[in-house]
Amino acid sequence: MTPPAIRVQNLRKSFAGRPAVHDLSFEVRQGEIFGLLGHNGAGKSTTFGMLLGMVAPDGGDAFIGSHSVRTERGAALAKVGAIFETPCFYDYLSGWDNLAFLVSLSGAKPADSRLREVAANAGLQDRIHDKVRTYSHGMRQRLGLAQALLPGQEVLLLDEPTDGLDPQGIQEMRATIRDLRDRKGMTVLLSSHLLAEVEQLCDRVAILHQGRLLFCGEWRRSTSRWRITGEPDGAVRSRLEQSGLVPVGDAWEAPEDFHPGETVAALVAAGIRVTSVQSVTRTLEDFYLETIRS
Amino acid sequence: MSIFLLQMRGELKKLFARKRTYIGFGAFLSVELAVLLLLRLPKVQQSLERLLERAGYVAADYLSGLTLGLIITLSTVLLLGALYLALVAGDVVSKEVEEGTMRMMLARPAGRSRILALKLAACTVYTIALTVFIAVTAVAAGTLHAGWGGLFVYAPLEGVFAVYDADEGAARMALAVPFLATSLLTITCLGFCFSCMRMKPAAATIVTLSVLFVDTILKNIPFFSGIRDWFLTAKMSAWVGVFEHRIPWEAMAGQYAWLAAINATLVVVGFAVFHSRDFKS
Repeated sequence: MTPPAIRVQNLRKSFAGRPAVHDLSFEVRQGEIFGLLGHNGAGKSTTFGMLLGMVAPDGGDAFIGSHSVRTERGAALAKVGAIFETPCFYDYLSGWDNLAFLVSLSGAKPADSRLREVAANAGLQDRIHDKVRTYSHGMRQRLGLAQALLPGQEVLLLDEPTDGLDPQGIQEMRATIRDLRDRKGMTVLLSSHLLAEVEQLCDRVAILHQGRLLFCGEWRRSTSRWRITGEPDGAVRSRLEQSGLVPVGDAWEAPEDFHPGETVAALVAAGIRVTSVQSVTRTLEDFYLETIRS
Repeated sequence: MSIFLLQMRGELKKLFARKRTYIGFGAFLSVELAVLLLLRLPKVQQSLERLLERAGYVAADYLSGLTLGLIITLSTVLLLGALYLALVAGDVVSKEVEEGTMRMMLARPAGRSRILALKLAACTVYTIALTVFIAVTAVAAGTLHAGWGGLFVYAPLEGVFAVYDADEGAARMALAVPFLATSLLTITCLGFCFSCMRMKPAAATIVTLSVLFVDTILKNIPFFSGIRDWFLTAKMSAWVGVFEHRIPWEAMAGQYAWLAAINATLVVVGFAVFHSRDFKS
């Protein structure tokens, strides 16, 4: 079995006695785009900080590949690229000089051809030698992505990568992230407030609330809503519930793995008819809010 | 090229790409010009000539580029040098934290110690460059004004009064530059130390200058004359010793050993504080 690309194990962190992250554990598989969700102050940034060794955890550890961020930070981050909510660069240097300097901090001598390739992929080939202070927000964001891919990263940590982008920029960023996963097999840990974005990119998410992990796994589930005639009596009701059906308003919601055969037979025997079956596709927003409220 | 040198090149590029780095160079040029203009005033010139002639020297032989260069350096370097070194060193870490570029650096595998070592090395290069610039331009400006000639040294606070012919004077001046740069490095280390702490860049600069000004004020209070040698700025004045007829190597070595210990302490404190800090992404 392939080891996880990122493993967070019982991470804890408090600031001035207030817990920011409480016993957090989750895994990100190789080559997947994994979403880290939560309100402001849920602990996402602190988790990112601990993954990058910028925040010292009070307990637990994070692993990138097989390397501990606490004890082997250099090796753990050797193949990790990161983008922050607002990428900050040296405005008084060119995009090229920014890339060259940041890559040198990865212990690599940046090859001009590689820098040119990444700049071109980010659509900055014509402006890469201009001072960053002349860049638009979208260009800065693309420069942020370019630096995160250098020198040859395999894991990306993206904190609000589409923040402040226009709809076209958001679409391009989404396509790039998907392309990096599909063509280069990169693993992406993505944090975003735009749940619609995460929904399109991530099959698995972790939901944080007040520093605690509320959910981790595949959020996408197809359910169906069954409407029936009459009110089922105690025995039929318990039969429905045993089958995994849950009453929702005037209907019953069935899970993805619901096998209707025996249940329908029991309903028919009790003189109850199924009047409609409607397939329901839940949005990530619905799922997120349900999880937070529960 | 080793990776450290490559990273160092990037750090220096950052340092010397900022306008504020050049304020110090510009300010010293302005001060040198101002001092030269004031030295043209008859009253000032007469006072200088009288001082030399009272000691039995021919003023024309020693009122030279070397003498004026040293006068300019002595009178400006500790105050003005402190200001610009504190500005650059006080900014070097805290400004990057404030502007958010530090987290871009910290997200890379290079450790915090490596990042700080690069910054300290860049500040050291700046200190040396500024010192050499001050000395060279002060002597050049003085020579343009008064021509080449012997060196007259008058530093009452340090107890130095000496005259040298042009060759010996130039040699002493050249010897003074590395010692002056080493003295000024203490200001750099102070600024660097405060820059590593959780404070705004302006605060790091102001605190550094405050330490130096308070030290200077205390040093100049007559009641403290018995302990004058223990003040930081008194130790930093040790470089003037190279202008004494018999250079007090032992005493200078003692003062510089103290400065080295102080610098090391400041750097270690700066590193320790920076290592203990959390930086949220």
